[in-house]
Order: sequence, then C-alpha cells, then structure tokens
Amino acid sequence: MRVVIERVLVSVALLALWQFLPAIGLGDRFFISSPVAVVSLIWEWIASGDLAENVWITAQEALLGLVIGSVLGAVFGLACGLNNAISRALLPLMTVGNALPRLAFAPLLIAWFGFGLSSKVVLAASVVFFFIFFGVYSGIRSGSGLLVANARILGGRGLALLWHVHLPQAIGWIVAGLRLAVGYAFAAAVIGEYLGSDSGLGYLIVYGKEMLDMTQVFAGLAVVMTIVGCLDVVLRRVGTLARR
Amino acid sequence: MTDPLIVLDHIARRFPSQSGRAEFTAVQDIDLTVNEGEFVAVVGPSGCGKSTLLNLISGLDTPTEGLISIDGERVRNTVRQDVGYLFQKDALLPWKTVQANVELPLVFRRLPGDHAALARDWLSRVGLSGFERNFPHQLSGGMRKRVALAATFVYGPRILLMDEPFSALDVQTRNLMENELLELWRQNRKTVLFVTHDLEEAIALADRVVVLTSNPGRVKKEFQIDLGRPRNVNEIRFEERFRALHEEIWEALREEVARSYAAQRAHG
Amino acid sequence: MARLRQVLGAASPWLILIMLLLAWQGATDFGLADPRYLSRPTTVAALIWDWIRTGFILRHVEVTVIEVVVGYTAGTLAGMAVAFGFFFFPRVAELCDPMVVVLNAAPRAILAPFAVLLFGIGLLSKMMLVLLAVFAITLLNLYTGLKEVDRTIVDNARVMGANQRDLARHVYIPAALVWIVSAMRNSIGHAFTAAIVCELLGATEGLGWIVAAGQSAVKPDWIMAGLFFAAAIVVIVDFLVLAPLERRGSHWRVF
Repeated sequence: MRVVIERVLVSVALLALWQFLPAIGLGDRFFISSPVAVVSLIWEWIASGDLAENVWITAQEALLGLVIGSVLGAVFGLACGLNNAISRALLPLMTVGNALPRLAFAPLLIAWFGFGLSSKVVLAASVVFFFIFFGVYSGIRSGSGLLVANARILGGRGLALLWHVHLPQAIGWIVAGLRLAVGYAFAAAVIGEYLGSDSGLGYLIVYGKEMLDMTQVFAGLAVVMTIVGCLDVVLRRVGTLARR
Repeated sequence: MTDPLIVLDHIARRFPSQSGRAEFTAVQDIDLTVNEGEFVAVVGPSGCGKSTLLNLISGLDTPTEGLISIDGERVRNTVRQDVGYLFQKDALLPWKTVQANVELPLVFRRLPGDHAALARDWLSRVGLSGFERNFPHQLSGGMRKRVALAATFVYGPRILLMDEPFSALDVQTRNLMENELLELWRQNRKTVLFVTHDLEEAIALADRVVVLTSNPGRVKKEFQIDLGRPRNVNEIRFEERFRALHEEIWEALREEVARSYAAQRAHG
Repeated sequence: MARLRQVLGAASPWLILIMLLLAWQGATDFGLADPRYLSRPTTVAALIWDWIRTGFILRHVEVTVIEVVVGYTAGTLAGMAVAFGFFFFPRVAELCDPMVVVLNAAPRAILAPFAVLLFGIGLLSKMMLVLLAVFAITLLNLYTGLKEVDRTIVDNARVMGANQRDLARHVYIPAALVWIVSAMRNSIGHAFTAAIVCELLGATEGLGWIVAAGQSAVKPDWIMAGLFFAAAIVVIVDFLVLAPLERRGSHWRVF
C-alpha cells in the first residue's frame, strides 16, 4: 500500500515538473505542451464525441486485423507445428518474414488498398500473423514428446490429440503471443493512419504534428497508450488464469 | 567436556505468506547443539524446514526468534566465513570451467597461494583430474557433485552444511559419493550437519541422527549412532546394530511422515 | 529417392518464393492486375539494379544505418545501465514501475510524430526514437533476466565468500550477457522499424524517405525497392551477425 502511494507521488511530481518547467524558463511551452492542456483537450474530445468516433475507427482496424491475423497465424502455425514437410518449406520464409520491419511496409499497403479501413486491417493482420504463428508453432514444438507419445499409445488421434494434448501444452505460448499481438495491432492501425487516412487516432496525432500542435500529439498518444495498456493488463490476467 | 561448536537456542523462523496475512512457520523451538568434529544428520519428512535450518546456520537467513552461535560467537545477518554449504540443486557457475569453479572461493576470499595448483589438487582428490577445462553441463550429475565437493573443501571450511546433496543421483553413484564423503571427512574431521530425508543414508553416515517433526519443524528426538568407523555404506546396512537403529528411529519418523502426507493431501 | 526428397525439402522455401514472384509477374503481364499499383518484379529488380549501379542508394542506406547504429548503441548501453541500476537498487525500481509500464504500453514506433515534432526532420529525431525503442527492450529483457538468476547459485557464491562486487562480476554480469545478446537480437528489427517509420513521417534522406517519396509520387516500384533494401539490411544483420553471436554467447546453455 505504501508503495502505491509513493508511486503516485513520484508520478504526480513528474507531471508537476512537466507543467511548471516552462514557467521557470526551462523548455518552451510550444514544444513540450503541458499536462493540463493535454487533459483538457482529451476532455474536449470526449465532450464533442470526437474521441469515441476516432477510437471506434482505430479499434475496428486493430480488432479486424487481430482476428484475421490470428486465424491465419493459427492455421499456418498448426500446419507447421504438426507437419514436418510443411514446416521445412514455410519456416525459413516465416523466420525471415518475422525479422522484417513490417510496420514500415505501411506505405506499400496504402498504395495497394487505399486510404480506408482495409489497408490498416491488412497491416495489422500482417503483424499479428507472425506473433500467433510463432506462438502456436513454438507451443506445439516445445511440448513434451513424451506426452504425445503416451497419448498416441492410449489411442489418441487427429483432433482429439490436438485438443487434449497439443493445445493445452501450447496455451501459455499462444496467450503470450496474443498479448504482444494486441499492442502491435493497435500500433499497426495507428501507424497506418499516420501514413494515409482521414480519421482515427493516428490521424488525430499526425494532424497535430502537421499543425505543429504538440498538445494534440500528446493527447492522441496518451489515448492510444491507455487503451493498449488496459488491454495488456486484461490479457495478463487471462494469461495467468489460462496457465492454471 | 568442551563447549559445543554450534548452538541453536530456541530458534524459530516464520515467513510471511503470499496472501500477506497468515505466516508460514518453517521451524519452531529448535534446540540443537553440534560438537566440533561431529557428523550430525537431520532427518524429517519433506517440507519440515530442514533447508531453512541450514540457511539459518550459514547466515544466509536470520531467525525470527532465538539465537544461533558458532564457537561462542553469535551468527548475525552476515554469511559465515568458516562454513561450506553443499546444496541439493546444482550451484556451479555454468559459464565457468570446472577448474575456475573450484578456484572461485579462493578468489572470493582473496586467499594467498597458488589457486590453480590447489584447485587441481582437490579435483584429483575427488577423481576429476583431466576434466579441468570442461564446463559443468558436459559432466554427469555425480561428477558435478564432486566438483561442488572440491570447491567446498578447497578453502578448508570448519563446518560443512549439506542439504540432501546426493538426492538427485542414482543409487550406485550415490553410495560411491557417500563413501567418498566419509573418506574426506575421516581425513579432515570437519563438523558436518547433513540434512536428508533418507533414514538409511543418515544412519550410515552420521554419529548422531536428529529427527524433526513435520511442519512446523521441531526436534522430536535424537539418537546416538554407535556404529564403528571407518564405515562402508554398502556393507554397514547389513549389520545387526544398523537394523536395530533403523527400526528404532523409523518408529519416531514414521508418525511424522504420515502426518506430513496427510497434511499434503488435505491441501490438495 | 530419399536424397531427392531431401534436396526438394531444402529447396522448397525457394520454390515457394519463386512461384510467388512468377505469379506476380504473370498477373501484371497478362492484365490480371494493374502494374500502376502493383508494379512488376522485373521493374522493381531493374530499379534496384539501377540504384546500385548509379550509387544513388548508398547515401540513403548510409543515413538509415547511421541513425540505427547510434540509437541502437546508445539505447543498449542506457538499457543495460538502468537495468543494473534497478536490480541493485530495488527501491528505485519500485518507484519507477509506473514509468516502465508506460514505456512498455505500446510499440515505441508510434511515437514517431512526437519525435519528429520535438527533434526535427534531421537525423536526431530518428536516433532518439531508435534509442527509446532499443532502451525499452534492453531494459525489460535484462531486468527480468537478472531477477531470474538462480537463487542457489547466488547463495552458493555468498557462502563461498563473495561480496556484492564479486557477485556482480562473477555471477550477475556473466548471467546478464546472455540476456543482453538476446535483447540485442530482439531489438535490431525494432530499431530499423523505428528509424524507417520516423523517416516516413519527416525526412529528407534515408530509406524511409525513398519509400515516402515513392508513396507521394505514386511510384510503387520506388516503395518496393526502398523496402527491399530495408529488409535486406535487417536480414543480413540479424542472420549473419546477431544470430551467430547469440549461439556463441550461450554455448554453455545446453538443456
């Protein structure tokens, strides 16, 4: 309990420093804005409904990307995890694909899919895909061969084997991959919006940047990070529950 | 009669439990003395605080209540410089060679002399000449235990604390190591406190066996082991006196094992 | 027969890649897809070759690599310093926890507009963003790793007479090396992503600038050729430098 109070105090002190530094001549208010200005802008957005509208757009992109990327990632992950021939053909490509700076591919996808929703969904899905692919693949491959062998001797086959033996062993990995994927899905949607859009949280941020309005940049980033942070906390809970 | 070397006076150690409120009592009301040069084995059911006891004596941990003294000097919250400690788990540094692992305590203690030669000498005494440049993961479990033994004897501690050191080894290796330990002990006559859950091992090795109760650990009873020395752990088990002692001590231990088992089942 | 299958297995990733390229080429050649949006493998390859031949690409590769090298080095060092600081002064770590949570809340590349606005469209903004991205990854990896150093090994070293400095030198730092190398490998991709995303949002040179220029001039071959170079550098650094380093660093870690 004491720790919580101390942490709050430290955070408040830092915010106060941010607020009052320009007053004593350190830092330019124009560049660093202030916490009060950021909070009041967010409040304005809430009051005018702008926040809900733009959050909804970004969330749609991120969630659609999450679903599509997860499903494809899981399918390919299962195929590679369970079949050696498929794994030999695809794993090297996946490893290289995973190493690529995929968020930087946003301009290409915008060129292909346009300014609207779909380019961000594809970008988010392409990022999510690899997290889930490697989550499922590693989960299955790192599982105990002994358990699988024993289950097969006991007569386990096909879907039953997958459901009762492979997936329970992989669940920890999958949840860990999913946790990372959520943050990246949002980041992908936001970065996609930076590079070509007319709405969404990323649009608000990048518009602030074009207008040299640091308050708007901070406010937009604060909203994105709050959403991702809250989702992360929820998924961490789910992760600990799933591992039981 | 001289004063005992190690004295535990009404020791208790409680840990705050994870939920915050209730405390977990590992050991309670422990009164125990160990004489210089004596080999004492502590037996008890699993989870009776045997390891806690060794941590307290070594100074790694501090008792919640009571007083521990070694050679008349109170053990406070610092690690004793005159103890050696053999852990149940592997404690060798995986990124150092066998030779470097054995030299390490000499480096830590800033002892004078030829560290390399001393380490080589002890490695040969535990039968590991030729493995100096290997890394721990290249050795078998028994060999790693020998390295740990050499790294403990190399700095000549007065007191040896051993926490089920051989429990992870197979039976043959284990008997071999027990005999080697007895031989090293015969040559050096250190004071040994040996924790184990294996009664046969305790009787075969020790001068005295202390039985602890199940959680929280208390001293239930002590038994003098009046078997002759030198001993061979493989043969001594078949002596009449060994069997009588085993029966007598098992009588005291059985109850505690049963209680500990029941407690574990109750907790799921 | 078995040998043929082995060869086929090893070649199959390449076969898939070649088939994809052929499909792309065919689709644009036979009018199934519009090369104005999709470009063509041959067009992109010609452009890549042209950039290499004329040396046009050199300057841009150099800029991006400088940004990454400076930011990556500074970020790794800063992350190491703070991780050790947190570890040896747990009180500080406790108080800084909310900041770490914020730092870790989202991939750092989204802070690119902030970096450009604060540090301008020159190299500095990219270096700072790379630094932040690498710092966060190194800090979290290393700090978690240090906390997971086997308790028994530490106790054993203490009984053998190690003081705090001995523990740091002989136990914590060697144990940390493995985590540092793995953090270095983890963060290289993030470093390039951060640099390029930042360049996309405001720069006058660098690989990201090429891609952005291709985007605003609607030249997909420029975008693809620019991304090709970015991807090639990351793959080379990751697979030829950092992966072997990681294997070497963990030679004693055999399970």
